[in-house]
Amino acid sequence: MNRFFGAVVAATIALSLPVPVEAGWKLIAANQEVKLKKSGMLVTPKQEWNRWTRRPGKKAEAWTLDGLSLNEITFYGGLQTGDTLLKDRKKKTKPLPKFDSTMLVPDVVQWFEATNRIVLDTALFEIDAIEPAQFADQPGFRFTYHYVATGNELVRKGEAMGAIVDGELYLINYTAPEIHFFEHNRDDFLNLVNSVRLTGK
Amino acid sequence: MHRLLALVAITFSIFVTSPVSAQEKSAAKEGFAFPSDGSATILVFRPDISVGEQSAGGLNEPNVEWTETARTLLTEELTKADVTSQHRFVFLPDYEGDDGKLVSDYRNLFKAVTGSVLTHKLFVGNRLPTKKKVDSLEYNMGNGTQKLAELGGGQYGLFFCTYDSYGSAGRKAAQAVGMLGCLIGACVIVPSGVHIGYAGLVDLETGDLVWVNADGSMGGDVRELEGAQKRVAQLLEDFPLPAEGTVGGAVIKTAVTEQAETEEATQEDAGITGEPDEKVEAAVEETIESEPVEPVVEPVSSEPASTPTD
Amino acid sequence: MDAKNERQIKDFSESIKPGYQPLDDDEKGLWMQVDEVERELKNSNFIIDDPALNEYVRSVLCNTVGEAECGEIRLYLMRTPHFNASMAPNGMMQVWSGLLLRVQNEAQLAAVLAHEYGHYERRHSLQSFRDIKSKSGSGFFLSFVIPFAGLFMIDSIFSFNRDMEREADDISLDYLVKAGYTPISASEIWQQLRDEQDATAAERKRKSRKDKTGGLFATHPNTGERMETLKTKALAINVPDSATDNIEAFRAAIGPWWPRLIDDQIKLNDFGATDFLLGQLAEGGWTADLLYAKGELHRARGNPGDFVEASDYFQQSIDAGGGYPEIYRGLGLAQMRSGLKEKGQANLRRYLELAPDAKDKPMISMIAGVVQ
Repeated sequence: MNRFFGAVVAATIALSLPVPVEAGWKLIAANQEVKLKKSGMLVTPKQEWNRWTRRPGKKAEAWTLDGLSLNEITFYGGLQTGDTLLKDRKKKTKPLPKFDSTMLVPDVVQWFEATNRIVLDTALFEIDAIEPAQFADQPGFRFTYHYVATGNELVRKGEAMGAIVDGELYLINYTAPEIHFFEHNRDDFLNLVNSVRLTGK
Repeated sequence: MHRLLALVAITFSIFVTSPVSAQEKSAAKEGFAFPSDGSATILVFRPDISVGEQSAGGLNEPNVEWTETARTLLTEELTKADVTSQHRFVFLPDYEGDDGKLVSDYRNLFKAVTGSVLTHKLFVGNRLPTKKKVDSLEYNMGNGTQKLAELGGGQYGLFFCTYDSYGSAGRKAAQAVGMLGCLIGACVIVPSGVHIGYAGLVDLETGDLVWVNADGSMGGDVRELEGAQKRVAQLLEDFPLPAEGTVGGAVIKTAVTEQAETEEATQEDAGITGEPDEKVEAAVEETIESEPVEPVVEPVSSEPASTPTD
Repeated sequence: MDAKNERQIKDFSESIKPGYQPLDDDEKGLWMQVDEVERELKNSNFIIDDPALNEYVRSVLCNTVGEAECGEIRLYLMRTPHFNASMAPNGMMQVWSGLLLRVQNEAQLAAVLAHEYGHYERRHSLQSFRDIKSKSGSGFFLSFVIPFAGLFMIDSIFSFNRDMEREADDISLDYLVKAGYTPISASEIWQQLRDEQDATAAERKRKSRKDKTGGLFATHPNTGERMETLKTKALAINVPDSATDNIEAFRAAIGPWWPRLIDDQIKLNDFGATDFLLGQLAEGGWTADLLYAKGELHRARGNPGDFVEASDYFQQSIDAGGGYPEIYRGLGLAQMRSGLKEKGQANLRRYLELAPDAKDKPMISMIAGVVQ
């Protein structure tokens, strides 16, 4: 009981800190190739983007146009066996499943789904399609899905494309509210995917 | 733990990322003006109102009576406010079935959009670089909003939210000590109550968010008449004026149920990798990771009591 | 139990009758507030609106607490893969899908529903509200959980205290007996839950959380205590031979939903708990469904050896008469992961034959070596 409340008090105080928990944003310029941090992935955006300075996963970075809740692109670059998709913040009680380089595409998709179900605390997460697709001139895959996060009734859609190259997973994921936003910014996502190059490290 | 932290995060999320720094209170779409023939009808969706008390621990305890009083007063004041005499306002009833779902879907989307505006636009320290240059508001919800226009018979939609948490005696004592946080190694002064409010106007023809006003430090005690007047004035400050030469409008009160609102409306909801809420939560978790804090919200008990409130 | 609580329970112990409306300001306020939550809940994406399943759960409720009584209750089945149910003072009851996966028979389900109804009948929310109100004046530090974003997570800021939980447990026993169910079923729920927590912990090599009393559950008696008390009381009851747990009716009603419920559970990445639940369901024998789920569980974990084991379970499922396409999908994928490429591809092709409209058809076709 006390520990519990201690945590809440701690949380509250930490949250009400008037000091910046710097979740800053950096500008990504248009028409210049960008190397994504900690990965051998490069993309050339056709428009300006905002890069979040915090990382959703160890080998991930997130970009947005209007705010992460409205349009979010997440790049996952070079995940190896044993890596989790997102940060394994609650590994004691809600551990995230780990990537394995021997996964087949349907396994990758199921692992992606399970990770998000756990992180978003929802059972309303459904894969809508999985198909082969070229990714950075490599044989890869594309999948689409929709979900509702717990505590938030907004239906969101998502689409991701990627490939496993030399045992490492490269993935670009796009999510946005189903109403208006998903279709509205889907081309912006596809433009990024179409520009992707892999260099190795 | 997730939910508990999240709920605390909800309250503060929009402020955490912003240093005490400057906040701009309102923004409007560049060049926006109501039609000059004075035909504009503004549909008012059921306001989200929550009033509670902040305990010594910093948690908010929603208060039924206060919320009820505030809802009555704020709604009354809204119908009497200057802007409502300048425009034609229609207060929408609660819808059921498909219409209810439609309104609910758009309310959820509106929250996500406003959440973004609050987080990134109105708080200078957290601005998106791509939006820094542009001074105007450029958020669009898609022209599916036309369905709302048809439903209510109007051209604009006004969403309205206030969230208040007043300091209690215990809270003040804690402030006097001021160093509560030292227990976990972070020494800070605990701020007093939280008073957030925002209002947003959507052009239902285009889906454009044409005006938004938000303040992280709202004034006026919404539990009292005078305070409610002040709050409504503050929320509707800079509300776009009617086109010049048009005649004053009327307030049409279709139905306003005076019930306590239970929903928090101040959060920006979670994107897939976690939104500011969750990110804040992450920061918090890191802070308290060293403590053997066990998550306790995993529902493994038969029934959490249910007197749902907030 | 302190003296004040004792008095309060005595003052309000009279059960409310069908048709009851709130009387004073406190209660009206409470109802009003919950009505607001319910208004939003009705639009929730998480509601399971399958008429057959709703009808079944409602019929169990009505059979247990009485026709007129259950008419006061609005029942919402929520797609949430954890063990819980809740009762609001205005008659809004929620039952989570994870509970439907965990209770083993109709009597156990009835025990939960009757327990929740007991909270309603004795107006526990109101008592709790008054209790907190009186204490908060003196600076008592409240425990609560706000519904996260208000809508679907209807936890409460006012926790029923332990005595009310005990009272609701007692009430549920009475109803069980009256409705002709086996009263021991109420105790079994807690036994199962504790064993499941042990299983989660063992797999993760952590200490079991079954005796944790902190946080949210401080509002409830320890599950061990509840289990023991319910058991002792059930054993003291003279149970007629006709008493039943009605397991067949329960399984028939849950059946259509079971694949989704177990899929939600498998994707929680809690191997220990899921394996335990499957083992428990298999007490009457391993069915094709259970064997398929066991295969999926191993396939999802993907540890060394899991794919061979998974393949084995899928094959057993087929042998036990399992005919649906997904078994072949699971088998094919597991075989390919364990190095049996050709066999795996053959089974994936079988899957595509059986499920020509599968969502993953283009991808599986490629893996299966089908020329497009």
